[in-house]
This record gives sequence, C-alpha cells and structure tokens, in this order.
Amino acid sequence: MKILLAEDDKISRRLLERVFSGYGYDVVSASDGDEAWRILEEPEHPHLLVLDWMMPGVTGVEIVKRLRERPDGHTYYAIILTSLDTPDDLAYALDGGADEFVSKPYHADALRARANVGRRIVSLHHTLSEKIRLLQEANATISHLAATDELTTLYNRRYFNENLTKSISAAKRYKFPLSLVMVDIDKFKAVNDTYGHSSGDTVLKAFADILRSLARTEDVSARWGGEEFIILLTHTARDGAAVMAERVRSKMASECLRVTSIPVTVSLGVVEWGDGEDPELLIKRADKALYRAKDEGRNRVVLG
Amino acid sequence: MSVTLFDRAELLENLDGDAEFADSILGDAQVEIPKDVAQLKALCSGEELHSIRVCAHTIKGMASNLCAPALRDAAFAIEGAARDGDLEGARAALSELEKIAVMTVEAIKA
Repeated sequence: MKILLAEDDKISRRLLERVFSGYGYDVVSASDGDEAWRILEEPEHPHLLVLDWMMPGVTGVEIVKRLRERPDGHTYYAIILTSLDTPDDLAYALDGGADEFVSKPYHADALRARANVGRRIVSLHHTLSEKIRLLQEANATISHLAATDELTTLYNRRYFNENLTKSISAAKRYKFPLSLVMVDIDKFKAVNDTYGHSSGDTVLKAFADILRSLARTEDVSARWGGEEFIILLTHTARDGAAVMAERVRSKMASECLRVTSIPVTVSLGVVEWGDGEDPELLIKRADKALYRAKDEGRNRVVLG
Repeated sequence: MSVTLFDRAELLENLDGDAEFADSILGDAQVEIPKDVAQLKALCSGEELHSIRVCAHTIKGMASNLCAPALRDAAFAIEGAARDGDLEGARAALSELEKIAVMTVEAIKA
C-alpha cells in the first residue's frame, strides 16, 4: 500500500522512510506541505498519510482539514507527527480531521504499528467502495431488467404504465398534447402455428426493431403483452400520432417480410388524451380503436 | 559545555546498529546543518516570527533525530522565543546556536 510521508527536514524524512521501507509499504515522500498536497491531487495517490505538523507552506493539520472537505475525504487515514504534544495540540489535530497523533521523538515500531492500523482501515474503505460500486452496477442492471421486455428489449408493461401516469400528470400541468398508439400483429397465432414459436419470436423482434427505428427519443415504445405493443407520444396530437402509426404500419408491411420471410402486417389504434382522462380510460379507448382496425380488415390505422 | 554535542552510540542504537545508514545520514547532516542554520540566520535578520519558528523547529527535529542534544536545545530556545513573539530573544540566541552547530558538525566528522 502507498504511504505518503511529509517531512521538511531531509534527515528526519530519511529516518521516516526507513521506518516503512521493507514492511509492505510503497513510500511516497514530500519535502513540504505544498508538495504533499500536490501529490494528493494526482491520480492513484496514497490514502495513508504520515504528516509532520509544522512544515513550510501548508501544515500537516491544514492538509488533513482540506482533505476531509473533499468528496473522498473519509477514505484517508492521517497520522500527524509532531513535537507539539500538549492536550490542546492533540485536540486541535484530531478535531481538524487527523486519525492519529504521534509525538516526537517517536518509536519506529510503535509508529509503524499505528500506520498498520491505518492500512487496515484504508483497505477496508477500498473494499467497501468496490462493493458499493458493484452493488450500484447490480441495482442498475436490476432496474433495467425490471423495466425491459426480455425478448424484444423494449420497455415492458409495468414501466410503460409508470411512465404514462407521469406523462399524463405533466401534460395536465404544462398543457401539452399526448397520444397513444396501440398495435397488434395481425394473425400472429397463425404465424406461430405455421412457422413455429421461434419464427413468432423473430417476428416480434423484427417489429420491435421497426418501432425503435421510427420512434423519437422522447417516445416510449413497450411490449404490452403477447403480440400487442403500445407507443406513448408526448407533445403529439392525434393527427401527428396517426402519421407515426401509418409509418409503422407501412414499414411493417414492406419490411417484415424481407427480415423474417413471413408476410405479417399490423393493426393500429390511435387516441389523444383528453383533459381529465385517467390512464386506464385512455388505454381502453386505444384498445377499442385497435379492435375497430381489426374489424375493418386489419393492416390499417384507426383513429379513436 | 555540559550538554553532549553528539552521541553516536545512541544514534546507532536507535538505528538498530545499522552503521551504514548512520554514516549516510551523518553525511547528509554535515550539509544540512550549515544550510539550515544559514537559513535561520537570514530569517532572523527579518521580522517574520512564524518562519523563524518553523525553521528553528526543523533544526530542533533534525538535531533530536541525530542525537545532537546541544543543537536541539539551542534550536528549542529560538523556537520558544519566536513562539512568544520575542524577536530580540530569538536573535540573541542565534549566535549561540551558530557556535554549537559548528561544533556539532565537527563532532559528527570526528
């Protein structure tokens, strides 16, 4: 482990280096407080510090005070080395943020033993930081999985519902239009029955790609369940949503066959949110429009 | 002079008998002591008491590590005067420290 030794007098510094050399420490030395602070601003700097209190430039206690104000301030273990040894001096150094206070003349073995305590604590900090980082990564993965449909990697129904509720609140507050497009893959059962479930999955994935390619960044496309999909378009009135829905229908009709070798079309229902309407009612109206599209012959967009 | 200038035996004992390392830092001391004393002398011609205190403190620490108690005590006197705001006291103690520093270096060389 790296250890920073800050001591202005050359002979005292060499003696200090000798205390730690050969005991598993990677010694970094500074000849005054300013140099010590420069070292502490470099990447991969030591977190275990033995600082002489009284040095030209920044004092050891000032270095510790400054360190504790940094976001990573709690990860350092600082030993203040000094010939100032009154109870007031000790309290001043410890209240300033030092972890340990060693009076001069020091005993080499005792000083090293105190640094060894610091080494254990710094190691513990590093281990904890690494565990926290891994935990944060795992939480991010879990959040992503909780919001995503595994097959299509579009958002899932749960995430969509949360987002719709928030978007409706925002639309109410800021008075912007909001529309929904409900989509169903036509005769999907026949696809599964004729070509097998694996081909059905390929169709679902190909359609998800089409949605991704046509959606704007702010749109939310989700797999609603089975072969049903749903798109939330904020800041978009019904006519604008209808244009988007028609693009989806047209692209599916022309491109899905090329991707999957299976002729598949989609039907779409488009509705615009009306002031005061709750999410369930809005979805119900979109569903109704979709089923009219089905009833009217499929492969079409119907406005609700 | 009642206080020892330099105690080689004590230094060796502090260094667990490492004579090679002792000789190495004593070589450094022959350069560092005159350098630091010259710096202290320059500071004493000014009025910056804090710098005088820090410099005397450094000499005190070095002398203590070298097992050179006379020099340590002389530096301690100047450090104390500077801490108490007594510039004239610090200046008055300087000549004694200069003398002791020269003798300490001679004792180290011997």
